[in-house]
This record gives sequence, C-alpha cells and structure tokens, in this order.
Amino acid sequence: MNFSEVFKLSSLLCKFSPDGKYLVSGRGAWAEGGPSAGRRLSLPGGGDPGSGERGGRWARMEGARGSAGVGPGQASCVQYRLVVRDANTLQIRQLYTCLDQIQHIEWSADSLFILCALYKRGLVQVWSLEQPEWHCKIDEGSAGLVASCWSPDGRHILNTTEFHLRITVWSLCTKSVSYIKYPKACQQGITFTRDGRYLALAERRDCKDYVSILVCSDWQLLRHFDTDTQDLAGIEWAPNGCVLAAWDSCLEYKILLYSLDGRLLSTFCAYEWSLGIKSVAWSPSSQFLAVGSYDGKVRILNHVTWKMITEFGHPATINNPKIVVYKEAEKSPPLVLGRLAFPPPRAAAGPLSSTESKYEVASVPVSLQTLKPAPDRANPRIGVGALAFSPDSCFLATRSDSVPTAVWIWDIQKLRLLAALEQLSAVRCFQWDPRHARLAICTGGSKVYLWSPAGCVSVQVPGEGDFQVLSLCWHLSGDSLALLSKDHFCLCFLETEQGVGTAFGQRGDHT
Amino acid sequence: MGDWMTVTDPGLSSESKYISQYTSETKMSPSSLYSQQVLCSSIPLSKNVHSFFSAFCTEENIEQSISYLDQELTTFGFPSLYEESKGKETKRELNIVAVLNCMNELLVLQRKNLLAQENVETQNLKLGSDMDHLQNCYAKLKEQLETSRREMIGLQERDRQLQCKNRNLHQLLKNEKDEVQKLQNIIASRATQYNHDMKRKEREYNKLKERLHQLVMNKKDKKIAMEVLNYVGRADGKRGSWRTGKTEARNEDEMYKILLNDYEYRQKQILMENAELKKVLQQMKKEMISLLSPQKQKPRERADDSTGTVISDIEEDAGELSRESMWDLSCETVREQLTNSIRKQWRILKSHVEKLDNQVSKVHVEGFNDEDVISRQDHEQETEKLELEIQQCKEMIKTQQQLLQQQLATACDDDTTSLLRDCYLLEEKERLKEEWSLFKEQKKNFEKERRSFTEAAIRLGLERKAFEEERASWLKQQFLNMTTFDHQNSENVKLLSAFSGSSDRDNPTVHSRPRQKKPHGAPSGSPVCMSKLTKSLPASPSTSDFCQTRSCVSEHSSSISVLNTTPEESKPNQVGRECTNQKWSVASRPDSQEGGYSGRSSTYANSHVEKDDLP
Repeated sequence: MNFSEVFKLSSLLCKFSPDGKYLVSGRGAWAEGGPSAGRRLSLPGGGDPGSGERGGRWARMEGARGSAGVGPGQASCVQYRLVVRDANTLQIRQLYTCLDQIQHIEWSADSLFILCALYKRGLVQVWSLEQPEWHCKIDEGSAGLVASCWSPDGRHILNTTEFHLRITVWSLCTKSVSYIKYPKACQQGITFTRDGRYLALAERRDCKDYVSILVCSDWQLLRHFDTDTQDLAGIEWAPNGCVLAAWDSCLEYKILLYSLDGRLLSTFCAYEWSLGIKSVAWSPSSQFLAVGSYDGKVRILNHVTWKMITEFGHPATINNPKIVVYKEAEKSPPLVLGRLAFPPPRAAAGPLSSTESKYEVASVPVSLQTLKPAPDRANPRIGVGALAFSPDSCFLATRSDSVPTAVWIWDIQKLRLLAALEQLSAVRCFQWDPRHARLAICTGGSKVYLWSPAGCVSVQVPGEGDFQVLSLCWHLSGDSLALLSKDHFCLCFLETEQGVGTAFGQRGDHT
Repeated sequence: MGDWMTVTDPGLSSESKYISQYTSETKMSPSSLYSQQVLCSSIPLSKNVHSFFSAFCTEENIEQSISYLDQELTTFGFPSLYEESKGKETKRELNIVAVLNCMNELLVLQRKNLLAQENVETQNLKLGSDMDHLQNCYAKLKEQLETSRREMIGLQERDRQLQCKNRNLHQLLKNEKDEVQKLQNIIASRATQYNHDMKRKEREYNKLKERLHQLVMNKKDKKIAMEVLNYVGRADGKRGSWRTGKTEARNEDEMYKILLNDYEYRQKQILMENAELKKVLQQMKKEMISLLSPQKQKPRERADDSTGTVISDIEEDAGELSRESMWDLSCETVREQLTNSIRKQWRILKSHVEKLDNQVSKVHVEGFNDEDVISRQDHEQETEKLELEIQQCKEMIKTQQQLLQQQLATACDDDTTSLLRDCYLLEEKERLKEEWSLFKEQKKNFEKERRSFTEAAIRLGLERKAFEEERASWLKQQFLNMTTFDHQNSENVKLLSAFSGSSDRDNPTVHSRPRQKKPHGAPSGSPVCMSKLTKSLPASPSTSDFCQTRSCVSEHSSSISVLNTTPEESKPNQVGRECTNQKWSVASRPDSQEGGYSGRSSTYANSHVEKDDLP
C-alpha cells in the first residue's frame, strides 16, 4: 500500500472523474502575495518556511507543468482554483481558477466537463477538460442557488434556487432554459435512473407530496403522481431504473415503492408511533432494499413481494461466537520510534505522529460502547444512519448512530451478522470498493481502515502533522483511494495486496 | 365385734389403713392391750402381715375369734367353720376341715387377688403412661392447631393484602390504560394540530414563495443568465428535437419498453430458477426411484394394494422421465404430475424410513426388555432352535470323539495311524505323547514288578516243589498206609496241573473290577506269557502290547489270588473258572486259540482306553 504526497484541498472537494482518468480537487482561499506567487513559479525549489515544504512542492509542480491560464495577475488576488490531476501519476492536467470559493464540484457523466458551484455568489462555473479555454458561467442572480447538479447526459445543469422556488435546467447545447416548479425541499428530492433516462423529482403542492418522472432527453413530464406520505423525505431509483422508493419523514415509518409508470407496487410500514426511517439503500442488484430506522434496525425488503426478508438489529453486546469482532487497539509507541529512526528529520519534526493501532479479534461476548441519546434534542443520535451494500450485493455495512464507533458488516447471502468493527473513535464515513468486497472506513483520525472478508487492517496515513481523514472516495477501479482531510488530501494505492499492514507506505514522489 | 367387721375388710386390702383404723379403735377390740403391745414391739421391726394376724387371736379369745371368723366367713359365703350341730343344745364343734378349706380358699383368693392387683397395677401404670402420652399428644396437637390457626390467619392476612394490592394494581393498570389512551388522544390531537399548523404555514410559505417568485422572476433580472463561450454539441451528437405529441408518445413507448425489458429479464431469471429447481426435483426423483426400486419386490410380494398402485405410478413416472422435454412446457398438468409423483415417492420414502426406524427401535427394545409379544415368541423359538442345535452338535462331537478313539485303538497299520495323527489336533497329539511316556514308565514298573513276581513265582515253584516232594513223600506214606484215598489224590493232581498251566482264563467278572480301576497297578506278567503274546501280535506293539500285558497281569493277579487261597477253598472257584474258561473257549473257537486271545484282549483294551479317556 503506497501513499501519495499530500495535496492541498478545501471543503473536502475531491472527485475522481467517472472514467477514472482524472481527479479533480478544489483549492480554497489561498492568500498569496502576487509577486511571491510569481516568484515561486519562476523559482522552483524555493520553499518559504511559513507555508511549509508542501506548498513549495506544490508550486514547483505547477511550475514544471507550466500550466496555462494562470497569469501573475490572477495569482495576485485570492485564488480559488480547481486542479485536475491524472489519477495515476497525480500530475496536474488542468488548472482552473474560479471566481469565488468552490462549494461543490461535479464531473459530467462523460468526464468532459466539471461543474463548480459557488453557492454564496449564486454562480455555477463549468470547465471543459478538452478545451481549457472554454468556459461557461451560469448566474442565478437574486433567485440564489442552493444546489446544482449535472443531468446524466452531461449537457444540462439543474440548479435549485433558494427556497426551492424552482429548478432551472440550463443546457450547454442550446439556449433553452427549462424551469421545474414546486420542487420539494427535502433530504433527497432529485434522483436519476442509473441509465440516465429518467429523473424523479419530489414535489410539494398544496400541502401534498407528488413525484414527477421526467424524461431527461427532452425534459418532458412522463408521470406525475401523488404519494401517500405525510412529508416525503426522499426518493431513490432502484439501480435497474424500474422501481422508485419513496419514504416518509422520520415522524412516520413508511416506505412506498412505485413502478416507473407510476403504479404503486407496495407499501411497507414496520411500526407506528415512533421515529421512522433514517436511511435507505438499494442493493446494486436491485434485489434488496435496506431500510435503516430509528429503532436501530435494518430491514431488508425483497424485490419480488416487497415484503421484509429479515431484520438486522444492532445490539450493544455481541454474543454469537461465529461473529468476528475486530477491536481497534492502540499499539505501543516504541515500535513507532524504531521505525521512525530511518526517515529524515522531517518525520521526526512532525508532531509525534499519533500512535499506531491495530485490530484485535475480541472474544465474545463483546459489549460495544453506546451513546445515551438525549431525548430532549432534535435529531437524536440513534438509529441506523448509514447503509451501504457492497458492489456484489453480498455484504451490507451499517452504522448505528447510538454506537458510533462500530461498523457492522452483514452477510446478505446468509442474512446474518458477519463481523463487527469497533473503532477507537466515531466512524465518520465508510465506502465500499467499487470492484471488490472491500470496505474503507475513516474515523477522523490519521488512519484509514480496510475490511475485507479475509480480515481487517488499520493503516496509518504517513506524513508530518495530523492527517485527519474526514472522508474518502474510491477510484472506480478499486486500485486507489482518495483520503480527504480538512484541507489536504492524498491518494492511497492499493494495487499490491502484500503491503497491506500497519506499516508506513512509501512516499509517492519524493523530491 | 361389730366394729371389727368394718375394720378387717379394708385391713386386708391395705396395710396402712388397717393399721390406722386399728389404732384408732383399739378400745373396742377385744385384744386391745395385747395388740397394742404387739404393735409397739412388732411394727417397727417388721410389717409382716402374719404377725398382725397372729396378734388377732390370743389364747383367751379363741372362741370369740372363731365365732367372729365363722360369722364373717358365712357372710362371705364360705361354709361354716362349725360342724353341723346335731342338736341345739349341743355346742357347736369347730370343724377343722372346714377351717382348713376356708383357709386354703382364702389363701387362693388372696393369691388371686394379689395377682389381680398386680395386673391392675401394671395396667394402671400402662394406662397412666398412655394417658401421659395422650396428654402430650394432645398438647402438641393443640399447639399445632394453634400455630396452624395463626398461620392461617397470617395467610388470610396476606391474601387480603395481596388482593388489596391486586386491586390497587388493577386500579393502576386501569389508570395507566386511561393515561395511555389520554396520551394517545393528546398525541393524535397534537398531530392533527401540528399537521394543520404545518399546512397553514406551508400555505403561507407557498404564498410567500409565489410572491417571491413573481418578484424575482418578473423583475427581468438581467443577472439570471448563462455566459458560455460556445455551445457544445450534444453527447449523442444529435440535435435536440422539438417537443411534440410524437415525442411524448415515443417517451411512453420507451418507458414501457424499459419496463417490459425489466419484466422480461425478471421472467427469464425466474424461468432459469424454475428450471434449476425442476432439475433438482428431477434429480431427486430419479434418485428416489433408484433408491426405492430395490424394495419394489418386497411390497409386491405383500400384495399391498396401495403400494402396488404407487409403484405402478413410479414406473409410469420413470417412463415419463424420458420425455424430459415435457418438463420444459411448465404447464400446470405437468407441474401437478411432477409434484404429485414427488409427493408419492416422498411418502414411500418416509414410510420406508419410518419402518426402518421402527425396526431399529424394535431391535433396541428386544435388546433390553421383551415387550413385544411376537418378537418374544420369535425369540424363544430361536433360542429353542439354538439349544437344539447345540445339543445336536454336542452329540455329534461325542460320536466323533468315540469314533476317533475307536479308530485310534483299533488302528493297526501305519497308514491309519498316520492318517489319524494327521487328523488329530496337535494338542491331542501332545497329550497322547504324554500318555505314551506315562505308559512307558508304567510299563517299566510293570516289568519290574513282573520280575519280582517271576522271582516270587520261582520261589513259589521251588517251595511248591519242596511241598510237592513233601507231599509226595507224605502221599507215599499215605499210599503206603492206605489205598482208599486214590480218588482224592488224582483230583489234587489235576488241580495242580491246571494251576501251573495256562488254563487261567480266570473269571473276568471277579477280577475285571480291580483291573479296570487301576490298570497300571497290576504289574508284570510271566515272561513266558509275554513272549507268547508278542509272538502272536507283532504288528501292534503300542496298544496291543499294553493290552496284552494287562491281560497277562490279570492272569497273574488271578493266579496270585488263587495262590493265596488254600487248595480246598479254591476248589469251587476253579469249577466256576473252568466254566468261564469253557465259555471263552467257545467264543474263540472259530479262530485259532491265539487269534481269539488277541481279539479278546483287544476288546479289553478298548474298554480300558475308553475308561481312561473319559474322565
């Protein structure tokens, strides 16, 4: 397992292009003096101690690339840059400068365009990878902007105005602009089918919930129907694009399944009088629908009868000896010091890079750390807050918010708990490898954790200072993994399985 | 005197009472003075009753005492102490006999009374102890009663409390239920209120939105615009089409196409699954048929109608199996057939398995306790059969043993012996060897003894010679003296000749017994005899030799016994012997003298060997 150099980043904006060739990252406000920036460009290797060596390398690389479009003038002001790198070599392919702080980045489906949303300004800037000089700027004006996304064809941009007044569909091909009125302000109100043909949109009119299904090719309304919900919270297409799941807000447990043609296929309600659905996930095979709820259970519905197959509870104690419980344990620091003797003083200068940790297989019964939810607070920290199916639909990873340090991994073939991972700190995010049954987990610490049916590893992210992994995203090949901290990111290459361990990875490119 | 009457009666029963009364009424008693004296002197010394009574009568008051006693006794129904007066004037005489009788009777009575008293006392004691016991029991029971009563009261109290509690709980439950109902109502009302408010707010919000929309959108906001360097081509390279009714229809079509595709895909999957399941079913069926077919015959034999039909079904199905294409039709009839046949077979299999289970359990049951009647009978029959078999086997073994022994005994030529040896087990061989060695030893002993016997015989012969000479001389003298003893003399000679010769086929009934009992104990035969025998039987040196020696021995032992007897005594013996001898000779006549001899000896040996082996 190798780690790349650490790069600057802002607002956790880092995305692999859909074709996997590129990696785009946003760089936030980077106050630099104009002359100094210019000098930097011309003076490779000149590192000023204030910004740290990383900055110096960064500048050098830019210089080496000789990227076009970054003039000294622009550099003089506060820069909001968009950096496109090669996903393998991490060399900068393109560099774009936006008008304001980028708050959202999205690749078009054909990986040709990148959308940057600047919500504060109500602006969307679009860049072309093929034509660096091509630019497009969409201004929503006084209507404001709260959300922006690509349509699946990569030629339309859907902008949601403030207060969800309307959704504007801008086309990059024609001058035509379409408006969609009454979009519902909810958790997940827009969803496209996987094949990009249809858009399902949650709407709210006259205090009633509706769902509109539109054809993406010409934005024609295909179906429009009301849903039997109090307050629709979200909608999601099944991966096969034929079934739409719609669920009510947390006040009521209700999930409705609609066919593409608007027929109600089934309704499922597990209980009443209590907080309901918290998270929903389709299995990639469209066979199962996992519904996580506030009662701390995941219910799996099947695609034939839409009845519940099974119910996964998340108990605080695990008694079954068949279940493997991995417990993260801190390692003694002497080992770390011994290892650190080799690298240059730079590493030693770094604040005692936090202690290493490893997994231990805990012997059952294991009791997991649970949080007592505050009953007087809104959005209590209970229930299953995160769900994810593995790409082969064989495993389901869940996190119960009342046990924030644990990740449960369920075997869908046997419909039982397979393993549980207890981390030292609360789990921030987990994501399945798009190719393999491999789960990456981060907890906001300087480690990344990987689970596979074969076992579990905890990997220290190398680098001086604390690299707090707040989020991560996989490359679509499953070979690399982008680890995002508050203002840095690095790549972790996993192409060789042998190096997996708690050892330090080698640096991607030393200078 | 009248006072005495009252006093004496209790005086008999209790001593102390008597004394006290006696002392209190001393003035009235005729013997007051004396008695007082006596009392003073005698009471401290001893409380002997007799001393009291002796004090009762003094020499002075004999008459009075007697009359008093008489009176007393008559009142008690005793005969009068006085003789029946013949006349009134005559003084009545004391009848001693009556007195004695009375005394005796009184004594008897006293004894009886004492006994009765004792009995009564013991009974009293017993009753007292019984009473005590019962009183104890009573007390205990009373206590128990008290405790149980208290317990009952406690329990009642508890019951009451519990009931109270229960009532309270019921009340609480009711309250809670009411509370729940109330809360639910509250929730419901709140929810409706909330929903209502929400709707109101939402409407307001919508109004505001509407207003905002108008304000924002109608202002002709110049800012709302898209700056683009140049429009890019569509991803599919086509130009955008106008919205028409056609496009709508096309969209619908496409949607349905997608849905159809999905359903087709799902149907295909289901079909595949079905096919897989059918395959499994078919395989199962085939296996079932193959599993069940070996048992086809059995139920057939039983001629059980139901199984018969089922089997025919199986066969039909087996026939159907070949038409596998039929299964792909998946029409209902085929499905039914399949499920039905599977069900039938499953039933057969199930019953079969159950049968097997039953058998297994039956075996188990038989092993431990014979509960099943039929099985028990079977069991008994089996045991009987087995016992019979064992018997037969035993008999067989016996006969075989006999035959073997016979063969062993009679085996004359090497071939048969070798054959026999082959047949014999090693063990037996060894045993025989041992026996053989033993026999050899015995033979040696026999030889020794024989030698000594021969010596003795020689000695005897010498003695006899001397005796004969003596007798001859004596006879001579006799002959010379008187010629009348001629007849007797000739007999004597005859006897002698018989004795010395081999005429000794002594009666086997007399001598066979000791011989049989200890065949080795009879040692040595005359060397002459021996040589003769060996000559006659050269072929069988082992067993026949032994037998011959034995026979010789028997001869000798008989001869010895004869020798021990006086000639006079042996006379009748000899007559009998001769008789037997004749008999024997008759039996052996067809053969030569020697052959008969040998044959007899062999039979002898046979019997001997048998007797030796048997124990």
